Amino acid sequence: MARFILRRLIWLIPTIILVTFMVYATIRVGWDPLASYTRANPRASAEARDRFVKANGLYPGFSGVVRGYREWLWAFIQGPSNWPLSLKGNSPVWPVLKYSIANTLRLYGVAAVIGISIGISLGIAASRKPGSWLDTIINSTAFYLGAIPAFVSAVVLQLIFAVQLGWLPPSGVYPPGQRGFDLVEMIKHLILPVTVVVIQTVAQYSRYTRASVLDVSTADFLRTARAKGIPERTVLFKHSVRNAMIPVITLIAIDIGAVLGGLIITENIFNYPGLGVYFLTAINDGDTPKLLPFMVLVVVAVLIFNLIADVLYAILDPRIRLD
Amino acid sequence: MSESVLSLRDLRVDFKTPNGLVQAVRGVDLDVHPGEAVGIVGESGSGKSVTFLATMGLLPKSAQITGSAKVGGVELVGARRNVLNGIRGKRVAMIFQDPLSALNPVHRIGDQIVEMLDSHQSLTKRDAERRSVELLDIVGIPQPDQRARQYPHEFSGGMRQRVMIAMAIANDPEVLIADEPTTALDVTVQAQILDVISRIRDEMRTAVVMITHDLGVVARVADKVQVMYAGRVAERTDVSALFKHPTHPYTAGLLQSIPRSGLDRLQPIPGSPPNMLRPPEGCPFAPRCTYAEPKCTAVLPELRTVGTSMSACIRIDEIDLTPVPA
Amino acid sequence: MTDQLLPNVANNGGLDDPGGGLPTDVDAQQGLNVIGLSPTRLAWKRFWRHRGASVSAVILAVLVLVVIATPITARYGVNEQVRDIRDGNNVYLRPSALAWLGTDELGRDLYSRLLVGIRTSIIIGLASAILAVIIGTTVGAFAGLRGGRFDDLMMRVTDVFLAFPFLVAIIVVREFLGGVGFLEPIIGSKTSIRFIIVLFAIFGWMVVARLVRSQVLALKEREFVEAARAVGASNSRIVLTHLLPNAIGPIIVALTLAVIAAVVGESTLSFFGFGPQPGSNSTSLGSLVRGSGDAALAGNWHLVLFPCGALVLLAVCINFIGDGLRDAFDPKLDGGK
Repeated sequence: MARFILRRLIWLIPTIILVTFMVYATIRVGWDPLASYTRANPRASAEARDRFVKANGLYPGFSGVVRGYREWLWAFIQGPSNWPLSLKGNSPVWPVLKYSIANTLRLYGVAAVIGISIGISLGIAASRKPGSWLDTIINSTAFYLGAIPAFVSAVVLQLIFAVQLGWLPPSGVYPPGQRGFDLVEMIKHLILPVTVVVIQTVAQYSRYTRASVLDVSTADFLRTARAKGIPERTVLFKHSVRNAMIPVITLIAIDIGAVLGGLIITENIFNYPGLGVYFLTAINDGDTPKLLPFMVLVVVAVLIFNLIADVLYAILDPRIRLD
Repeated sequence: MSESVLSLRDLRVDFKTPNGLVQAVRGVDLDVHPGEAVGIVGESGSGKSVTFLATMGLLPKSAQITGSAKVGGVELVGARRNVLNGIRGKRVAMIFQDPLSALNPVHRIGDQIVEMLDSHQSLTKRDAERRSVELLDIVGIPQPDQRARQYPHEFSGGMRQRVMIAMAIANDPEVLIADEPTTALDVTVQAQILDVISRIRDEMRTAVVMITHDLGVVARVADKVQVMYAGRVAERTDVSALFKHPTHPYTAGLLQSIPRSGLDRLQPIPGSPPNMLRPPEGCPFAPRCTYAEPKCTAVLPELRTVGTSMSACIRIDEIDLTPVPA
Repeated sequence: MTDQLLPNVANNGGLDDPGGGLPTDVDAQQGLNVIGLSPTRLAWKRFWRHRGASVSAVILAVLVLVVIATPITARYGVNEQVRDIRDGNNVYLRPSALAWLGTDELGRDLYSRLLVGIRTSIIIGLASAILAVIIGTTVGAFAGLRGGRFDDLMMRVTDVFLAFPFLVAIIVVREFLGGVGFLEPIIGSKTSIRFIIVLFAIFGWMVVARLVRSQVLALKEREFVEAARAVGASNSRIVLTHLLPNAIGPIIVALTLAVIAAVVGESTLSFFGFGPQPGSNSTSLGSLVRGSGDAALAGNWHLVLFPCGALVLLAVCINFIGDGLRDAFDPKLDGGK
């Protein structure tokens, strides 16, 4: 196991370099940073534009892309103070990125804990008696909720609870103009976006858990367990759920890895300044110096959590041999 | 004769299906005495496994069970789950056909045996672990202390079946029900497993119910045989009598379909078992029986004594079923 | 199994469970004489027993008919105002006899625009799903049959891609494809329908490929494939005549899922301004949904309710159909006591 993890970790480095290079090249082809820079700074002098080209390594041709990537990567590794400045406002990227990461993690942390625990519990409850009224209610509710696109539920919730009823603030983390920490306001601003994410999470996890438990429910070893005369609760948790949780737990790991890509829909509708807002702002401004560190973060998170998912799978299921 | 440890009376099992009620078991009686080995023989679909899964309370909810199944005087049909759980694993244990899927892949072998011990005895953790290693030793698993820490996938099929037996005898049960324990195994391994079961029976005085479609297995392990067909008992007899004087045409048919040296014609029984959604009114075997007469299809035959055997063939006095000598 | 609105979804993605449909323990023990129906006919029967799926199939069929027949069913042109401004106000009208679902900011009939929008969305969904299935089936069958390095590579690449946040990936790839000049004559500009179809196919094929691969891996070991190989059939022949017909169930399910992903994806992209602009004489569900945030704030509820409702209806129906198909092709029994 240790050898497997070590080998995968060593492999992770070339993989990250390869994938980030592909991302870098993709962004270099897809955007014209200089044009964006000129648009954002219409009165920039020729020297300022040259500085921008140099700072961002915008060399022509494929070899230029490779060289640009090398220089960019080197600067990136050296730390945020060496990163190219955001082209809009010539400001450092890291403080905004850090702030966005914290906001997204807070939103997702709360939503994931609530959503995943509710989802898994409902899934197990539903799977106990397939076809019963409880199962039908849980599973069809999850089905309908899951079929509603996130932006629809976000807009509807915002419309009802923020605009019509005025119970909750429609957007942001704090009321406009507020400075400093305020737990009550923070919670009030979190409720609606968290609800949207929880709806999606509960719908996904309850169905996935139910399917997984049902998948196990026909297994012969459950019959063996019952033949032992152990209580049904033990059969359920030690045999049925214990085995059924293996794919669910790996799914959680993969989901966490993906969430650093931002809860784009929810955050943007509630104007919640997390990574999703960060990303769309960077895209719309054509702000490649801002976009690149974000993409690296996403790539690294996805790859690492994929590895974590594999390792978890091997820990939970002794049949999987890693070496 | 002593009190029977397992006794079934008019046990019936029906399955609710979208197409109607499937009558899988239609009134089975059985008595198993302490230390006795009874073979239950029949084709797949004869209801032989369902009978004992019903006894153990291991059938899905779509099964409706009526009649009586008592272990040591305790009624199991319709019993509350805690009554059931006090009996199964403790006084009656069961092993299954496919030892690969019968063990939970994510728990260690030792832990799965400890779980069996823990559910019926109060042992310290260390005692339970020591006992589980002992049990693995009893069923003939080499290096039992190391093997106890391994997972099911690290065991061969025969070794897994030994683990199942070790688990089954953990609480010194009065009855061991073995549901086709050798069907999924290689021929050489089959004999070893049967030896283990026979040894357990001799040493621990555990009664054995051996469910099988293989008359060879019956000959090797059992003293008494109950032949089942279409959810009914066709014949009940001693093993020696079964091979010499079968008292039901179905049994005779089974005997003739065993390949034997010196006998070049192998006669399979023509036709297939009846549809249990609508079982025939008379003798269920009549449509496939070479001796069938109109009276056979009129009324469902009951078991009656024929010499030392019990037979459900109404024509048994009129026909000669003695096997052709080799 | 009584009163079961939503039978279990055993194969909820990720849980590889190829095969299915084998006679189970209980069946064998009960001695059921299975009535001789072909697997396809059995699946068909089971599909129509699934209440949600059969109702959805009927709704969707009606919807498709109405949408195809827009020249007859639509009451106004896409850009036509319901009445001249001199005859009375025509913008933001509430639903009425004049405009069944009300009008938008330019006085156009929402009902007629919705029909055209649904048509565009269904075209996008179907075209990209079919494209994804063709690519995915080819790659997946090849990888599953050949195994080896190509298979490893494909699994790794799709692993990472599928774990990647979908919207991030699709928005970045969209910009990339839009930025490559020589691709434009082939796949159209960033805002064309053709472009969005290609975009969704690029992301959709991987799910299909993994599914087909796992099916092929499972079927490869089965006797009839061994038999075909023994008589010297070529790989491509085995795939076409033996493997694919047996994997058709999961492929069809994947197709429905790809359709729904594309329909919802188009709306989501449009909502944030990354969607297609279907031209002046057409519209898409996404374009209609796009303004819903602002419309909601202004109190024009019908501009939120109907486009979003249509989207949810489509999503629910296709999900149901996918569910019904999955159950039809992969039946499961209920558990033990």
